[in-house]
Amino acid sequence: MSDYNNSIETFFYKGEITVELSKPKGMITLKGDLERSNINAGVIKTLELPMPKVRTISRKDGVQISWMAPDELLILVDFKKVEKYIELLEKNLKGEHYLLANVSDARAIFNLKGKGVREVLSKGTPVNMETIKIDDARRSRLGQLPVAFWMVKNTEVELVCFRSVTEFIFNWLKVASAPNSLPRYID
Amino acid sequence: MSSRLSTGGKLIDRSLSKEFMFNGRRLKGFEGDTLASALLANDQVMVGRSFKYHRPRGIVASGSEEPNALMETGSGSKLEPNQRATTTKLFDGMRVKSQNHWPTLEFDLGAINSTFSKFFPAGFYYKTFIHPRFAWKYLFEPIIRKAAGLGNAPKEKDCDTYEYFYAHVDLLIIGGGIAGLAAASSAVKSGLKVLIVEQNDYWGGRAIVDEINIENGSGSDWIYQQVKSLSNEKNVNLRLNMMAAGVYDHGYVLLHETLTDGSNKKMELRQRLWRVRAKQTIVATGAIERPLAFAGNDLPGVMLASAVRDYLVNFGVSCGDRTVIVTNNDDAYRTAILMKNAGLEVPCIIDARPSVSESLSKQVQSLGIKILTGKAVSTVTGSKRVEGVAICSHAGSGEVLETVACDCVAMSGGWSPVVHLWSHCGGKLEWDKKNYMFKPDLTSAPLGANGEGMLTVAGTANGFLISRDVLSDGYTKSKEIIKALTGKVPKISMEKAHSGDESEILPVWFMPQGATRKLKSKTWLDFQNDVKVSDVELAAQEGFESVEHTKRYTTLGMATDQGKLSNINGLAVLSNSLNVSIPDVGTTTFRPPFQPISLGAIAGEARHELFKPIRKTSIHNWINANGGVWEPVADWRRPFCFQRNGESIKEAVEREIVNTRTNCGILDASTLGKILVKGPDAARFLDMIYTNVMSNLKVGKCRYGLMCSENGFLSDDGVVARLSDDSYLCHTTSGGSDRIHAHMEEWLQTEWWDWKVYTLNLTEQFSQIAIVGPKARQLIEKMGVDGLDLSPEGLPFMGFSEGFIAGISVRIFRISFSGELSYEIAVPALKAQEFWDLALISGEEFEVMPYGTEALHVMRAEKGFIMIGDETDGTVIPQDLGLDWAISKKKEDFIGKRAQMRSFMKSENRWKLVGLKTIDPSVVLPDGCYAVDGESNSYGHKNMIGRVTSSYFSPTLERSIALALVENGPDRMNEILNFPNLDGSVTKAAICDPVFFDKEGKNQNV
Repeated sequence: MSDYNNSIETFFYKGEITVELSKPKGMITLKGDLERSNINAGVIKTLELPMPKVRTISRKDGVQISWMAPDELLILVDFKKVEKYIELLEKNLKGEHYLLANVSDARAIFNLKGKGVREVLSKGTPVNMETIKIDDARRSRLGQLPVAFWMVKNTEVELVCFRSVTEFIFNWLKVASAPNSLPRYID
Repeated sequence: MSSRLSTGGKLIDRSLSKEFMFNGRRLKGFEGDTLASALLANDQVMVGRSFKYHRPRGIVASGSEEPNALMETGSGSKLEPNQRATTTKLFDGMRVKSQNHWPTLEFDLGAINSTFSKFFPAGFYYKTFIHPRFAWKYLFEPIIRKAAGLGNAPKEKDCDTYEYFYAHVDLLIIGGGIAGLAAASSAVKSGLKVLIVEQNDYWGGRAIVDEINIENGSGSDWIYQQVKSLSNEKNVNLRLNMMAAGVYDHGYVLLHETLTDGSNKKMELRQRLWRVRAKQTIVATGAIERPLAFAGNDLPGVMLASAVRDYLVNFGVSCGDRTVIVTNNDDAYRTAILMKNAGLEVPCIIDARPSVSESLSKQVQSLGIKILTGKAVSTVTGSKRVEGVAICSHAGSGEVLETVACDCVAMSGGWSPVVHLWSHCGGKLEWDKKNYMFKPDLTSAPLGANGEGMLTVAGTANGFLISRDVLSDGYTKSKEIIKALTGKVPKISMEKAHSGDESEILPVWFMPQGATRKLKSKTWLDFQNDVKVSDVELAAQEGFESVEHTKRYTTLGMATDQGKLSNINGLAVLSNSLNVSIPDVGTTTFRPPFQPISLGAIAGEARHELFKPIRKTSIHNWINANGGVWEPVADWRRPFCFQRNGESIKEAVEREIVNTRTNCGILDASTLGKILVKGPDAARFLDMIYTNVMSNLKVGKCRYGLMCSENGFLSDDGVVARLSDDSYLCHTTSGGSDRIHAHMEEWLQTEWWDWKVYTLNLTEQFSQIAIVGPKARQLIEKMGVDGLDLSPEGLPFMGFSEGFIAGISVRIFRISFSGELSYEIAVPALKAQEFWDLALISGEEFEVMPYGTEALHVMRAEKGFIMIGDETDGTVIPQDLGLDWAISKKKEDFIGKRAQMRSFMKSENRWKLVGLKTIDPSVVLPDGCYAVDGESNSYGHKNMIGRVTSSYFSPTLERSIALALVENGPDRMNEILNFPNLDGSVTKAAICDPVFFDKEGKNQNV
C-alpha cells in the first residue's frame, strides 16, 4: 500500500529547539456554556479532571482539558478512545445545549522542546512568552496562521494547528529555531 | 584635507586595520570606523551627487540624520542601495559605490542641471511639463526619473534572512544616552521589566564626545559604570544597534535591530524587527544639530559642528586642516576648542550674535582663536570642496568684508530635540521661545488605552540642552513613570552633572539676514531633495501658506531623511516669508519609520516557502506524485487535471471528462467547507441563513441551498445535510468555508445572541472523496460496504447514510455536481489516503481515473450548474441565475430577502443566466467577453447587453458551450449575439437553455 501521508518521521528538526510532530491524539471540541453547572459537572464526571481556569489546561494520565474560549473546550484523550469519550460526554451532558465533535483528524500537534522554546515562539506569536506558566494555554497565531499551545514544562510546549498546514507550520518552526537565531532576550 | 590623526579615536581600534573599496579605489580604515569616518580619513570629502542638480555633496553629519552620504554597499544578493555611510559599519573587504551620478562621481554630466537651476524652481514639474499632454508619460517622466533618484534597486534576491520578535515590557527606554541610562538605573529596584535600546553600537550618545562631568568623574566613566551595573540586573535588558522605528497605539513600539554588518558572504540572519508592547515608554532620543543656511552651504567640507568633533573624538579623524566655525550659539565653540587642542587650525569663529560672554568663549579666546561677532558667511568658495569663506556682516546683505581660506566649515544653527517618536502617536509640540526649537508639549502626550499618557520624553529630547538638566530630567521623568506603574515613588540617588551656563542662542534661519536673492538661490535647506531658501520663498509667494502644501510643492523634507536637518529651517523661512510666527506655521507630521528600514525586515520570515501558507488535503502528496497540475483555490492547492505521459492539459481534461461520463472518475473534494450547526434553534437559524427552507428537511436527507448577503447578493451555495433533529452539516464552497463560518458566527453573536445554536468548522476533519460516473456504485460495492445500502432505493438521490466502506467509517452522500451517478464520501482525514488507494485498486476494472477541477467545471457547466465566483461576482442575485425555485416565498424572513425587494433587484431588465452556443462549434468564447447590441451610448461606448461567465469546450457534446448573463436573456432564446474580440473580429453565438446535457437527469437517477 502506498503511503503518501506525511509521515511523522519527516517532521523532525533539531535546532535551537527540537521540533517534532506528535502521533495523532484524540481531540474533541465541546462547545457549551461553561458557566452552567450541569455542563461543568458533566465534563468533570466524564474526564475525572477539574475544569481548567481561563487560559489554562488541566491534565492527568493522558487526558487533558484545554480552555479555548468562554464557550469552548478542547479535550485530549487517547486517539482510539475518542468515540467512547464522546458517547460518555453525550450521556453526562444529556438535556444540555452543547456541541460535541471529534476533531482528531482536523488538527496536528507539535511537540517543542528546549531552552529556547519561549524565544522561538516569540518570533511569531504576540503572546507574552516570558510570563506564561506551566499549564497555561493560549489560542493565538504563529506568523500568518492560527495556532493554540500550552506549556507542558518550562521548556516544553505542545502546539496545535490545522492539519492542512502541518507542513507550513513545521517549516516555520524550522526557520524560527535555526541555530544561533535566538535573540537571547528571555532567560 | 581631511585625514586620520596619529592619535585619538574612542571608538576605533588602530591595531585592526580594514581595507575597503570605494568606487574602485582601495582605501584603509580601522575596526570601529563607520563608512563615513573611514572615507573622511582617506580625504574622500565628496561622496555623492545631489538629487536634482547633481551638485557635489559631502558628508554633513555623523549620525542617522545624514542627508548626503548614501551609498551602495555589497553586490549581488548582498547589494543594498541608499545605505547611510554615517551609520554603516566598516568591514574588511567592503565594496562601496557612491550614487546618483554618470559617468563618475568626479565628472557628472547631470551637473548641467545646476547651470540651468533657475529653470528648476519649486514646483517646476507642475509648471513646465504640462504641454503637450502626451509628453509627460512618454518623454518628460522617463527623463526626469532617470536624472533624479537615489540608488539602484538590487537585481538579485536578498540571500539573508529576517525575523520578527514579540516582546512585552513594563518600561521601554529609547535612547542610551545619559538621560536614558539614568532612567534605566532608577527602575532597577522597582522590579519592573525594563528594556533600554540604543540605535548606535555604543552607549552614551553625545556625552562620550562632549566630555561632561558627572559627580566627581568624567561622563564616559559614569556611562561605563551605569552600563556595567545595569547589565547585571535581571529585570533590565540592554540592547545596542536597535533603532526605534515607530510608536503606535496602545504602547506598541516597533524596534529595528541590526544583527550583522553584512561582511559575511553567506546567508545570515541580518535584521530583526521587534514588536514591543510597553506599558510605558520613555523617549530619550536626544537632539539633532541644525545646519545654518548660507550660500554654498552644500559644498563638500561644510559640516555640522558636532559632526566635526564626533569624527575627531570618536574616530581620530580631522575633517580639515583649517576649520572655520560658523554659529549662532555656544555649542560650536566646543568644536573649535577640540580642533585647536588636536593641533589643527581654527582661523576664526564666525558668530552671528552681536556679543558673547560665557565661559566657552573665554576658553576659545585663551586658545588664540579669533571670534568674529555679528558676522555671517556671505558665501563659501570652492567648486568641488570648500576652499574658503567670504565673511560679511550678519546684519547686511552679504557684502564681503574679508575672505578666509579653509578646507572645512563647521556650522551650528542650534539644536532640535528628536521629537519624532513623541509625535508618531499624537504627542503635541510647543515652541520653545528661549532655545528656538520645537519640544514636546508634556500636557498633550500620546494616550494609551486607559486614556492616560503612555509615553514620555526625557533629557535633551525634552528640550534640555545642558548636561546638568539633561541628567536630572532623566531621573525626574523616570521617577514619575515608575510611580505611575508601581504606585510607589522609587528611592533613587540622583547623580548630578556639572556644566556651566551658556549664552543665549540667536535665531538665524539664513545668513546674512538681508541676503540677496542671488545668495538665497545658492542657500540650501534640504540637501537631499535639493530645496533652497529661494524655493520656499517662491512657494510662499505663490500662495502655498500651509506648511503641508509648501512641503509637497517644494519637496522639502520629503526625502529619505524625512527632513531631519531641513525641517525647522524650512519652517522658519516659510514663516518669515509669510510674516507669521514659527509656531503658527506649525510642523508637518512626523511618521514612522524614524529611519528607513529594509523591506526584508518588514517581510520578516514570510518569504520563500513561508511567503503564504498553503493548505494541503490528505491526498495532496499523492496528487503531486501522479501528474496533478496545481491551481490555487483559496489557500488550497487543487489539481486542475492529471496529466499523463505526453498529454497536453486540454487532452488530459477531455480524457477525464469522457472517462467520468462513460466509466468512473474519482475526485478529491476535501476542500469543500463543512460546518456543523447544532442546537434547538439550528433549524430556525438555517432558515435565516439560507434563502430556502431548511427546517422541513428530513433527517438523512440533503438539500441544495443558497446564501445571500444582507444586500441580497448571492454569497455562497452548497448542500445541507440534516444529521439529526437539532444538527445540520452545511457544505460551503472551497473558498467560502472560513468566510461563511464567520458570517454565521457574526449573526449569532451580534443579532441572534439569544438563539441556542453552536457552529463548528469541521472542514479539515473530513476528507471528501467523490466517486462519479455510471460505474460508481459498482466500484464502491467492490470496495466492500458494511451497514450501507447503496441501491437506488436504499440511498436515493439527495440522501446520505453512515456506515463502513472497506472497513473505514464513512458518511456517504448521494449528490451530484456532474449530472452522473455520484457519491461524495466523507472519511476521517487521516484515513483518506488509504481510502483513495483502495478505491483506485477496486476501481481498476471499472477504469476509474482521478479528475481535476477543470473536468469538474466543464461537467457542471454542461449541466448548467452555477459556480460561485464564475456566475456570481457580488452583484448577482439568485433570481438572475434562474434559481427562484430555491428562494422561499413562504418564509417571513431570511438574510437578503428585504434587499431582493428593491426595485432594481426586481427590474425586468436584469442580466439573466442563459446558455450560449457559438455558431462555429469549434470556437470557444473568451471568458468574460461582452455582447454588444450594435448601438452606442452618448459617450460613444458600445452598448453592452451581456457577459460570458463560463466558457468551455465540451468533449461530451463535441462543441463549445458557455454560460452568460444577458439582459432579459431567457426571453431571447435562439437570438444571435455579437461578441467583439480584442483583435476586432466578432464571435457570434446563439442564446440557448443553460442546461446543455441530460436535462431530464436520467444519468444521475440510476
